[in-house]
Amino acid sequence: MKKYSFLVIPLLLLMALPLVVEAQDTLPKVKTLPTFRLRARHERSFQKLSSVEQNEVITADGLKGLACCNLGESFENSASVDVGYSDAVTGSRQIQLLGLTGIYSQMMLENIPFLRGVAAPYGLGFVPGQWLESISVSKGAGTVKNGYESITGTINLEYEKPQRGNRFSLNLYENSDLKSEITAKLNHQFNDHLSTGLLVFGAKNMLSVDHLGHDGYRDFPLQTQVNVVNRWLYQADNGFNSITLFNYTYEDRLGGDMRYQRGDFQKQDTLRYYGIEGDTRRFHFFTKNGMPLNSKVGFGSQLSYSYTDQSSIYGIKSYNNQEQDVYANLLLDIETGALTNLSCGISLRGSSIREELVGNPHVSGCVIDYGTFLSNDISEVVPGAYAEYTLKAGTLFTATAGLRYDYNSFHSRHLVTPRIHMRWEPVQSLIFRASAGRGFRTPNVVADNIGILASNRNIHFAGQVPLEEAWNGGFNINKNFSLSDERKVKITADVYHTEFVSQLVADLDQSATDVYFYSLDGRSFSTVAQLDMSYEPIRNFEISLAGKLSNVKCTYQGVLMDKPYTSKWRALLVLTYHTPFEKWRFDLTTQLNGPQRLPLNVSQHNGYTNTYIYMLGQVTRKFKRCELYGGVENITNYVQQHPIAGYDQPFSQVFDASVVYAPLMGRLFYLGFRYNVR
Amino acid sequence: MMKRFLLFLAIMATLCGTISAQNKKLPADAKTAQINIPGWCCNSLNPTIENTLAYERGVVSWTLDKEHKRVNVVYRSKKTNPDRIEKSLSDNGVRTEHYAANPRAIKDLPKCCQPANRGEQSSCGH
Repeated sequence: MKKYSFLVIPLLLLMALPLVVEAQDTLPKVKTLPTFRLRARHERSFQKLSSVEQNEVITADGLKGLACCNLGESFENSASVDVGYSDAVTGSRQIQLLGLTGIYSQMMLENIPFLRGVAAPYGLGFVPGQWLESISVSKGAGTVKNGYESITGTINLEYEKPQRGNRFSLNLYENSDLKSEITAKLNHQFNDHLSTGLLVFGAKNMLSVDHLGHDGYRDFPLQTQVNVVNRWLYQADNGFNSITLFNYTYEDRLGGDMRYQRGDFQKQDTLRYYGIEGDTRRFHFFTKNGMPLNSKVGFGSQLSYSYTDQSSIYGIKSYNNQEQDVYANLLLDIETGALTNLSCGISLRGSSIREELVGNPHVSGCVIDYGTFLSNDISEVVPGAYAEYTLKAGTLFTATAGLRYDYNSFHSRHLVTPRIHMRWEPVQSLIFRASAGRGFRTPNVVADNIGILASNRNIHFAGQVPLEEAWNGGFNINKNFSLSDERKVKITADVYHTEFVSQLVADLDQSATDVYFYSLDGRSFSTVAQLDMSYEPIRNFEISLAGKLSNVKCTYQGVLMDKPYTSKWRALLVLTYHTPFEKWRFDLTTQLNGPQRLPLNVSQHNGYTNTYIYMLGQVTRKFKRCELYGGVENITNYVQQHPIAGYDQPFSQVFDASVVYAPLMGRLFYLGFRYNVR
Repeated sequence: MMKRFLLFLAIMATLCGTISAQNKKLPADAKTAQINIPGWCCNSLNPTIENTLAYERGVVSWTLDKEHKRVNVVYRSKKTNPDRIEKSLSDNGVRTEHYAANPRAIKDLPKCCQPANRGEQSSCGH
């Protein structure tokens, strides 16, 4: 914190600015900050048609049809986002957007960058699904307003709003592996101006399960999570609008061999079993303030701070990281003409990341070198300025062109980020969109590739951390039409291409027992085409069908190869039916996952994996104040048979739990209960 | 594993059976009540009213009388009473003769219906 204390005072002054302006200005209510309103209540997901970017919104109603305990489980009905486990022992999940891992897309909480850097690998587990009001997934280069980091797209999360949510809601969940969850939401409105919300989440996983019984390793770690959010909202009559949010998360996990006990890692010479331990403490705060200065000019400010401290143990390695992040953004929105709009602003980010990977010196007969493998310290200060110009001719045509400039102190580089978006609606409900842009990112060697810690591969990393740079461009067509009354057909097709200029490559293919990190030398790209269709053949029964083809390649030691763990194709079928007034609701999702390339590894399987089906379904019964739901995950019970190679020799080089391409958990039943007080 | 699945199916089947058994003819204690809803402004409010009545205990059926801004409800007198039904409408944001609408629920109504249920001049011209 000390490092950035010099930033805090000027930032606080800047934050106070709107308050001063407000005191001097007594303008009538002209403009409020753009707030997001859900469309029809029953819509589960929709394409935001008016948006200039391709934007798919998953609503809270859509999430209720899934057992989404957390964000990582919220994308089962979306073909755009793929979710997989990062390894076979920690239970952490990672997402892919446009064929590239989630680190290349920008995660945002209410339009403020969120879960960056080292918080990213476990971060999906820190967002309880029940808190979410909506998730919007935008593909392609995002707006320049939020920084240079989004390369493949942005995922924006909206938590429940205190002025709109129920006064009290409770959700209880229990599954057949004895994972229990409780979510409570309290909202209170003091008066027309001030309201507050409290979101509480607790989860505990109490049963050690190895349902195949092949290896005696826990399929999913024992886990405890406590997560609290408190937010305040103030809306003044003159349009001044302020949102402040505090979030604290604590999580611990214990995984690996069932015989491994917490603390065994520290015991000299007695460490016999492979264990996973993880502790995370995270604090996040943001405040957003905005107000109209006059009828044509709006002002907005964003300030956020986050602190993440994680310590973990992977067998004979311990991996610790800390991150501090301060971000401030000031934005001016000016209506320059009847059809044109200009947004401009300045931003400042200060971030400090420390990663440390240490071998356990107490274990004898271990093949890995002792001592510190790797220590990585990245402190960067990034001041920037941006402008975005929008031309909007009614609903017919919209174009935005944005440009931002940043200076990155860690890489000592001046970065220029151009982005362009276009939307054209020649006839009603036929929409063409195009986007292109550049993005940058500072990689974190271990955190970005957290899965490899679950193997005993030797890590080779020499030289400087490069600044990753990529260009992204794409097209999208959207057509909606009605066959008859209320029988709507929606079709969306899109193609996106991402081309890396520089990248930190994790090479798993040189040797089964090593991983090499180096800067990209050659091509690295991703091309993804997707088709989505939905149709309502009978009233209240909807069919959604989606297909996706991916071609994701990267150059490893001069050879252009498929990127590992990326499906070549994927298909999705979602069936939903509800009775009148949604008293009963049935959801069934079927995913067909195409082959993925496995990198060179110590276990026998190599090359391409088999295609597999993953199915999940849920029945919901709604009553006046409460809802009861029950469902099954992984209905077909397809699991990867031997996910942990060398499980009986965990400290030798034949151990590898990082080769994961299919579900690890077998068929799972769950029951849940929701209670609402308006 | 299979056993658990069969048990699950059995529970689900029982639940479905219970529900379908509820669909029967007009019960003996059925009565009709007229509930005035001065907050009604246009058809956009109908889904809110229908959703409320659909989940209200003891409500058998209803018809909406738009001309007189009221709803005629058939209910079971052993299970509920007109006052309770009226209260539930106001809880869901609909202004009724005797109850002011819940301000939080008003925010969930379609935009054009909000003023009328707050007791202000209707914005959709009704």
